[in-house]
Amino acid sequence: MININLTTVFTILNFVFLIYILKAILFKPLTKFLDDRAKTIEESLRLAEENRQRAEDMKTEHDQIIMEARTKASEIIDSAMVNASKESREVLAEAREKAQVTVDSAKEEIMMEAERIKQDLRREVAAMSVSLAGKVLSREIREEDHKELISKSLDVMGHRN
Amino acid sequence: MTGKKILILAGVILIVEIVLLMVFKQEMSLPDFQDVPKWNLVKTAENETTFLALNKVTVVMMLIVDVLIITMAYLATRSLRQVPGKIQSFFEIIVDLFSDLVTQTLGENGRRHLPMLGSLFLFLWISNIIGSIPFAEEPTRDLNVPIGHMLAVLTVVHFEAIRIKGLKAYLMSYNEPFIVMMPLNVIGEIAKGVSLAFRLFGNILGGAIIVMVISYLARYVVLPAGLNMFFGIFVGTIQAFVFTMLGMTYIAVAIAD
Repeated sequence: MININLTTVFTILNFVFLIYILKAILFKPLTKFLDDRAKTIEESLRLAEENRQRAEDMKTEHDQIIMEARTKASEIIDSAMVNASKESREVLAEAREKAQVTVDSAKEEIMMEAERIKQDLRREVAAMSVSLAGKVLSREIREEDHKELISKSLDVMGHRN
Repeated sequence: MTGKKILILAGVILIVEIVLLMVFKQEMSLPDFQDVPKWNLVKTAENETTFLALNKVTVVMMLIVDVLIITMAYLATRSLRQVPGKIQSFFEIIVDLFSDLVTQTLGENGRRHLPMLGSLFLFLWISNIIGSIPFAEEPTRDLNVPIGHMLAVLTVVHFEAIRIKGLKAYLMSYNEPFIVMMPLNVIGEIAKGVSLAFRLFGNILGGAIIVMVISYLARYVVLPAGLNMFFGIFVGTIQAFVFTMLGMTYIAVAIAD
């Protein structure tokens, strides 16, 4: 085991052959592969960073646009609200006025109608009273004589009512 | 591998060991301690002292190690994928580690030494840990193997020195700091190689002898498994790494100004 002999030479030859074989099938392809992969990863990282940057820019832009849109929308809403309230106030006032007019005219009409009906009623009651009194007294009462009297009593009744 | 699987594996090995012990009780009874020097630590042509002998077991084990490494490397790089499989990531780790080490130690140009140093580490590592398999011998247990690798590494070191510095500057570097120190520098160079080779050889052979002695005492059960783990895997890995790192450092020193 400690004799130095041809095995040493064989070892050296074996080692040299092993170096060449491993260089061909292991070290060359693997180092190339590892370098390529490192390059690929670097490239992907760079791309990812770029994309992230771009996305961030886009986001800021979008944020700005959204902010602008929001401001504009609130402006529009505000002005619309102002307009609407003004209009509604106008419409309301107009409607109230119209209603007032209608109510007034209706009241007037009712009053007139009531007056008319009162007059009618008074006339009729006077006529009926005369004819009734005539019948009770079994003779003709002159209408003209009593009309005044009846009218007076009716006035009293009307006031009582 | 999970802890459960390792436990099952250890149990299976234990049972196999016990069965083997019971079947081959006679054959496995080891000789007495007085016979230790005669133990056949390396089953080679140990009586041959000529330079033309070839240690057959060592050669066979080296070829087995070669085949193992080349097969694994082939399987790893046969279809390289972006998301690596197990073998691929294993080799990726090793290649990446040595690539970084070589770049740090030798500069960007040092990457051309990566195949040499990587192969050196892979070969020595698998050689050292293969001894944990029963009946397999570490090729590095044979002094010829560390010496062969040492010679190869030192050849690279000196050729690199001449290539980078030029022949004249290389020869002049032995006269540092002045010409009287030249023999000492030469001895230092030789000592470098000898220490490199014998460190590996001594560690592996020592581990093998300890495992063998303990196996004799503990009858091939339990304890040798742990010792095999320690000397085979732990020490084996460290020594292979040390050998490779020292080789790299020698190159770095040689090509430095």
